[in-house]
Amino acid sequence: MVKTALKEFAFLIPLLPALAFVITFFFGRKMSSGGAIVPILAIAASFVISLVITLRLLANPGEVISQSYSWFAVLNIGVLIDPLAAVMLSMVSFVSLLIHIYAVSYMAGDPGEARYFAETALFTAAMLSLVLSDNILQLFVSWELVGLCSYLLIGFWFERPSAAAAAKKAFLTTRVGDVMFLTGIIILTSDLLKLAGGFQDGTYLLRFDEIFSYIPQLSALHSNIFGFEVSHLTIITLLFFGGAIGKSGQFPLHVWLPDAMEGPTTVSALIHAATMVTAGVYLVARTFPMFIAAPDSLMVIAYLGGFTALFAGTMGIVMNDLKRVLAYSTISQLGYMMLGLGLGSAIGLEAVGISLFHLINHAFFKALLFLCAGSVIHAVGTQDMRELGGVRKVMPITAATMTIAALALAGFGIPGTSIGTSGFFSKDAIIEAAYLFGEHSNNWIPYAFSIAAALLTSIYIFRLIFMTFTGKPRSNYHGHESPAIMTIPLSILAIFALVFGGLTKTGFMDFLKETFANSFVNLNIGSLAALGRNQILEAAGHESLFVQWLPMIVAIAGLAVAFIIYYLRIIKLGPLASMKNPVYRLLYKRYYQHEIYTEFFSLGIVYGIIAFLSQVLDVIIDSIVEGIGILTVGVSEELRKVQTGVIQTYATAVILGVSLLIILVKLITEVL
Amino acid sequence: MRINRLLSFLVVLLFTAIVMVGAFGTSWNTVSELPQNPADQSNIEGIGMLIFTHYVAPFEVLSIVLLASLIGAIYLAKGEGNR
Amino acid sequence: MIPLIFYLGLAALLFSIGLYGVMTHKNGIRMIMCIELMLNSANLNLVAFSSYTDTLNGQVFAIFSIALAAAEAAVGFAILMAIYRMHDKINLDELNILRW
Repeated sequence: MVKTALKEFAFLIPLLPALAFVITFFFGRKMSSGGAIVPILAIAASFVISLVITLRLLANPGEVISQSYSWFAVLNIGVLIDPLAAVMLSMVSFVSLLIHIYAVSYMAGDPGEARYFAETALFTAAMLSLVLSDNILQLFVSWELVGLCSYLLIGFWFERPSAAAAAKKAFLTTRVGDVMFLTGIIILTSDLLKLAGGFQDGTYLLRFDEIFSYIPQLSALHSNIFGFEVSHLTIITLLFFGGAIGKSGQFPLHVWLPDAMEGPTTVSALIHAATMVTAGVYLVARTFPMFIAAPDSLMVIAYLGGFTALFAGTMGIVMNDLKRVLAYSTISQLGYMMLGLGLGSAIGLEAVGISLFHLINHAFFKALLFLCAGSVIHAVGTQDMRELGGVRKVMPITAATMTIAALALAGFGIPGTSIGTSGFFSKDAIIEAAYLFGEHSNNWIPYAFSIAAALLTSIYIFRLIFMTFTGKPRSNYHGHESPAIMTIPLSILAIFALVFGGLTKTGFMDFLKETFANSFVNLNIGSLAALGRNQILEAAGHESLFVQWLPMIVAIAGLAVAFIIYYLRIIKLGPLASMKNPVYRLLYKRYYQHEIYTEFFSLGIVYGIIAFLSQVLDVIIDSIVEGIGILTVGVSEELRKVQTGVIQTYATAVILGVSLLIILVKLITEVL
Repeated sequence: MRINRLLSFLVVLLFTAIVMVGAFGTSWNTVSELPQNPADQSNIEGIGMLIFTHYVAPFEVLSIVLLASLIGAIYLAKGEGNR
Repeated sequence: MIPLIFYLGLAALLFSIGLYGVMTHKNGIRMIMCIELMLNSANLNLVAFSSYTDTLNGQVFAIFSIALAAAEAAVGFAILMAIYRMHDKINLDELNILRW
């Protein structure tokens, strides 16, 4: 009885924040602190519902919640809460709740406070709706909605030109991915319509279970592209992954994410660290059966994810801006998650488990890192690490929580036991999976990427910690510890960053395995993998002690490097870290992305072509348009004289017309 | 003016021709013999009965139309001069 | 007995005469008279059909239409009078302010 009643409330999870958005948007300005209480209460309610549903689901993972309502034709809107959605729902609502509470103090006094809370409430609603949608179209709609909120919130301080530019850049860059995603959906829909034989009542064509049931037929469809026989499934999955690349900041569409730090730090924590950027990972995980059945798609994901992890890490070590380091770190960690999913070609469904595990843990510690950075920025007033130093003395709680987050990010823990930070378990799971993959297919590139990225992660995050919190102040700043309303969320997140991974390690993976075998969908992953010519390992082999310890060793090595250079300051980096060093310059200039993307590609090629075309087209189109105008005026000048204003003329014309019409009708009916 | 008049005449001729062709070309479904009543040659009584029974509503509406046009005509013809 | 078609022919001729008058005459009063002619040709049709189908409905209609013609004529002449008062002329082809 209670259980059924609870299911009925599942749709409230996104609806409550959406309602809060409306209230705050219209009445927030009249309430104290921008009406923050409304979204906080709404999201708290969403969190409670999500948590209860998750706990219920944990007890009985096969019984997922699925409600579908017909929208139009063969499309539907609906709610699907399976283990995958449940953990995301709980995480999103929980992190969002904490960040909203934190933001009450962080955003206090800002003139756009009400707008801020309205937009973050809308974002939360959209994100929750994205997570629990049961069909690809609703997911896409929510996907665009979170993109919109991201745009609005990056450009929250739109009076700053840099923020407006960053918002535009984020919007346009993610749009590239979104178009690919939409193209994938369109191809999928047309293929499914073909396979299902047109519109059929009673079936919801784009619902995930329906899509998954057509996977074998989809993979049998082939098209010829540039001389290659490509399975439609591969095309669709790669296009979906294209959407994920844009949203999750993977190479080469990652350029917007560091710029997105122009928004308030809370926004960076909520959208660009914990939730929205993981939507791409979620999309791939959600449609994972399609990916595993598509040849080569997972390989692309693994390579691109691993490369992104390394690539972003290299830029992370030279940034001087607190938030930009974290932004590159986010890209790098998202690369890890993608890598984890890509390894599904070897480890099967476990890939979803380890990737999502890292996603959840990452959400905790990265949100914590951003909120700590926000706390420092809020108190000190600068985010340039070269001007900071010694902040530990004035902000002990922030320093402690940030150090915990850094340890979690670098993945500190003792292999073989359940002692360790949450990042340790999830990241090691991915690295070990990469090792298994290497053993399995003799392809060690993903493993090499992941180990190198782990080293870089450790270096840049401890560089950040040492430069910010230790040593002597390098500029005159007046810091103070943040108020309790900010430090309490920090502490809660710190606890999660510390223990969540250790506590849920095995349970989480087992829970996530139920995602594709329950009352909603029941798939035979082995046969799907065979379609994609992927061989799944039956049992994970035992790695040697060295393999188990290697991630830990590189993390400690990274810590040591950062300790020596930035704490002890024994080695002077002067000549190495200067613009004269070509490697440093390359990294500091971020591989000349700005030059390549913005100036060469956007301004040079695209804008140049458009400018040229517009010149040519101007002449052609102008003459056409103006010619039509002149013609119209000339003809009407003559034709208007028909209107004599004399009744007799009109009467004559009417009678003549009627007569001719009668004759015409007679001719048509009689002669023809 | 001459040409105008000629044109009008031609148009009217065309129209008349069409109507005539239409009228003569149709086989009208009529009674074969007009009814004859030697005792009472008039049909006024029948018309009156119809007006005041079956067509009483149009009759009343017509009276209102006449009244309205009467008032309108008086108003228009009276002019603004002697208000 | 006179065939129906004779009445119809007469009515058509009357209508055409009225039409020709409307088309050619400039004088407003003459035009209204011509319009009356056209209306009455229609009435003639009504009555003829009424007789030849042995029903009285058509004759009742003719009476109604005569009444309406009276109303129309009253309003028409009133408008003509107003126009005359405003413009001092009654030739309708000179009152072409609605032209291009």
